[in-house]
Amino acid sequence: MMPPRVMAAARPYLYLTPTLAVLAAFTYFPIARLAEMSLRAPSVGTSLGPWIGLSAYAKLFANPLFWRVLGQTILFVFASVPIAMALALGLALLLDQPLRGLSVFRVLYYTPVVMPTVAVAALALWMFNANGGIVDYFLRSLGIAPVPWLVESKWALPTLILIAVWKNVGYYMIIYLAGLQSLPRAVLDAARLDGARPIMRFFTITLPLLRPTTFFITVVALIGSFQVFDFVNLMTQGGPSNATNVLVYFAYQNGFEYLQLGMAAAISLIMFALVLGILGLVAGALNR
Amino acid sequence: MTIPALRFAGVGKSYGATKILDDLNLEIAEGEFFVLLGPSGCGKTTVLRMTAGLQPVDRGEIYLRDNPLSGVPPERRNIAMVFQDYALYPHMTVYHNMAFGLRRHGHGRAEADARIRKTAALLGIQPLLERRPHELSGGQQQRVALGRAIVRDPALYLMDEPLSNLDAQVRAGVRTEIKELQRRLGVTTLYVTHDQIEALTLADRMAVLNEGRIQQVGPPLDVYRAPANEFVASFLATPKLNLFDGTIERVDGAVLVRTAIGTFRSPNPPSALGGRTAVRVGLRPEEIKVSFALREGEPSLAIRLLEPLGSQVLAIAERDGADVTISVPADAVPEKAERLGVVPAGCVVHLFDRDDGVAVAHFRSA
Repeated sequence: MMPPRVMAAARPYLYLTPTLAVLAAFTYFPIARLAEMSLRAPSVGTSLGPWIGLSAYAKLFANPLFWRVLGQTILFVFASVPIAMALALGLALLLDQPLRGLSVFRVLYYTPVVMPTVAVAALALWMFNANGGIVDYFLRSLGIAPVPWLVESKWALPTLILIAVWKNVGYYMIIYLAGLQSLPRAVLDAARLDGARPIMRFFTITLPLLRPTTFFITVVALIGSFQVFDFVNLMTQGGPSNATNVLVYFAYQNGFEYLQLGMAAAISLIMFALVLGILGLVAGALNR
Repeated sequence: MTIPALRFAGVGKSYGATKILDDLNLEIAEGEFFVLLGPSGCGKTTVLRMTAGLQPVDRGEIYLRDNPLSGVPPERRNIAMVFQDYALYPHMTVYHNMAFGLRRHGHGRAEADARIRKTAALLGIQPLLERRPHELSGGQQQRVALGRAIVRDPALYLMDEPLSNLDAQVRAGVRTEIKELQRRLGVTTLYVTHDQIEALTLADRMAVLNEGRIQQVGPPLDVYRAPANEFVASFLATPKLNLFDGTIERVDGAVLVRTAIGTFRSPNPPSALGGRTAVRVGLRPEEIKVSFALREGEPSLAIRLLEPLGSQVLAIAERDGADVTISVPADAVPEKAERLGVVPAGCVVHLFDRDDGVAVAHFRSA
């Protein structure tokens, strides 16, 4: 038997062990294995293949399509996340008021969040259909020429961004709303008496006080957006001519269409490092 | 006649069908320290928030130095408020907490700086200027909150239970400080509290508020000595007012008030008593005279519990089912005291109408 003092010191770690074991088996081991795969030439089903060093990475970096996909992913993330967050904050500010029937609006805005992505994608495909979709119908009734949404390369990624924003904005809004409602009212009252007008109050008091909420949403949104796959797979399969191809879909294509497992592993690992790095920067900037 | 600094004229406020404030009429003189005392939910914080402009007035009008306030946004009222939970800007240093309002009100950087330094010196918070609120103790935060109000040099201070989040010891210290500061600065102050000690110690004049209506207005000791009704008497008694049914007898020009715990005699019958034969009798714990030296056969009360408070002891005694709480100097209580007798002479007796609770007389028994 261990002496009681050692027992007491060891107990917290003991409690952490099961979780760590599960994480190790299903997260850290796969990551290590992924790293190993990216350094070898694995073939489907059987062996990990011979060690080939960094040649998968070299091939990847020499491939212009990889850089294009990387750029498109970054564009998708850094367009959809700020737009969705700004919209979410705006809506949350509107809904953070003692109005009648407010819960109805909350439910309305939250509906896209609880809809399955497949359903949202099907709906979006129908709405943004270039042949008589309802969005074009409205544009036409406003006298605007119809837009070849998902058909033309230059429109496809913005359309995807639009749909992602629409899907996510309700989720971010609910979190912002919770953040707003937990703000100390007296502090905002004090700012009013101190002479700060609404816009001033928003930028000098509300926004800084919401920083923990903003940080949380940023992290969740960045991770979620970097991993965008379902919309691409369901709506465009990366097309037209790779205009909506993003890192996860690119990894999927390499791994499961071209059976280049080493390549897919290298792409995944690069993305992992990228997300980690960006989150580090965000944490540094927002979580002081 | 001088213009009152703050005047409430028929001010009312309702939430739906619930009346929060009903026809509030009050005048506060320039430089006066005025305390609104009342239990939670009596509408006192609503009065402050309406004065500050944080809540609209439903009926009536509030005048600041004769200028009607309705329609004037909070930022243009020249009023500063100290909040119960300090409400400091958590992401700003003490310096910027104080600078915020000054800068918003159009003071230049140099002038703001001079005023902040002066106020900080006045409050002894210069060493804290570069700290953030979470690095300060409760007492320090409250001092900064005061500083934020003072630095703006407003026409009126509003204080919403500013001491209630402080420890007992710190509270007494800050209380003294607030009073001294107010004296020194001479700025009209409307202070809201549910604590009778704060009201009595701080106020030049006070108003007792209950269920949205003013019960009594006056200097604290007047209110304490001659409460206008049962509610005011109860609210200004610690820990509680002893209330009994009493009957009135008139003997040889004097009045005898008989209660469950004894009979009290007033040599000069109070005129407001009229022809009443039945009253409610109120006795504060500290205004009852007792004796522990009992003679055989003398009427006495059984002591149920003794609660030592230090210099005083609270004796909870009973007779015939009637509870009495009495405050006695600790050194007057013998060890293992089991009974006590109420001394009929020298008690302060408050008489109230049995039906509406309005005070009819206050006297010291002879």
